[in-house]
Amino acid sequence: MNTTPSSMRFDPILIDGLKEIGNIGAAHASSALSKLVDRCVMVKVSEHVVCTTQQLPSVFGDPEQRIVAIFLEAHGVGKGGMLFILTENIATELVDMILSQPHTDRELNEVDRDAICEIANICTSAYLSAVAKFAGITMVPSPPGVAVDMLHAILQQISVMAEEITSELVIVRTQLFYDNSPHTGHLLYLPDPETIQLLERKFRAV
Amino acid sequence: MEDRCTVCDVAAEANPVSATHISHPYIDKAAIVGVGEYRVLDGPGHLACLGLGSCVGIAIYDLHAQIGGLAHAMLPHYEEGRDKVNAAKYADSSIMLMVDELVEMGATRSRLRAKIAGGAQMFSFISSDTLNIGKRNYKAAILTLKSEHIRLIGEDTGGTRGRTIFFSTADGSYHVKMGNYQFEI
Repeated sequence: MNTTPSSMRFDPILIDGLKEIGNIGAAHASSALSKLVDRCVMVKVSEHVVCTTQQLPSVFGDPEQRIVAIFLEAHGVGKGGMLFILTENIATELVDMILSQPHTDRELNEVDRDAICEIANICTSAYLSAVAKFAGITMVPSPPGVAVDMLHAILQQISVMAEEITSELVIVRTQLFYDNSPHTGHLLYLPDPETIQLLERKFRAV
Repeated sequence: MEDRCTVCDVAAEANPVSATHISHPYIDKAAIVGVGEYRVLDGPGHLACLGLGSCVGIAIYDLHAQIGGLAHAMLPHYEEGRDKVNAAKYADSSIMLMVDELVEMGATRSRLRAKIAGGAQMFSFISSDTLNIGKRNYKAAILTLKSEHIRLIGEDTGGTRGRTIFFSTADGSYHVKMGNYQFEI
């Protein structure tokens, strides 16, 4: 589903290119995650969402759902944000897989937080470096930050950060899954306007 | 009772965000105030903000006249903002706009009271005060309330947890929900 809740229109070439970038990036992220947890992690075809920064908190799912989110920023030539969203259950399951301990349903503790942060760091860095390589730019990921809270509250913080530079956003969303469980996690890539322009030029040159 | 429609509501109506999958004793009756919007009611009614993170939910009301409003501000100062079109985004300008509207609707300025919640810091990696937008939002709101001579009678701000809030213009009650924990300020 490609939703464009706002009146903004972007060039189809740019949108296709961004989705392709999502596919490439997520493929790298999923193979990194596969190696980490020793399980086959699959990727769904990327979607794009165009919205205003004000709409961002409410364009994905149930706003009050409790989720785990890991956010990091890309610095360098191609700036942007990268968000890894997953449910608490999946987060602890991934941690248990890595620490090879039996899975128990629990709230994220300190160790789990650090572990899931590192997992997300590896995945999202793989994503970003694939995008950087594809576009021939440099992107340096910042240290990750983790939050466990309502989806709306987390996305709202991201939208506030984005609001300082732009009021319209293009988000590339890719779903990861394993073992037929449909919602392992979501990777959201939010390139900043300059990076979008830069990528658009690259797509046209290809 | 009639919902007054503000400029920001018009933008919201063009892109309605459904809240049908949420059920809560208050929320069923409440109008949702979206990010960077404010809403005013000239009668008894409920207003709610879902998932306040670093944003602040500022309720201002005149209990006697049963007129009140709720603002969901995302940034601290209009002066510092990039977007000058939607002033309801900013804590300071949204308070001023809302107060003017409330007074216009028949509220008495000296009877206005305020309650505020939100301003959390969701991500652990941001430690500096300048980047702590939640704290800055809260400070901007407090300063503006002071300069508008509106008494602040309840608050629950800061921390690292998101909040969902429900405000009633009928009795001025302001409920905060954090996870499974709920209380009134």
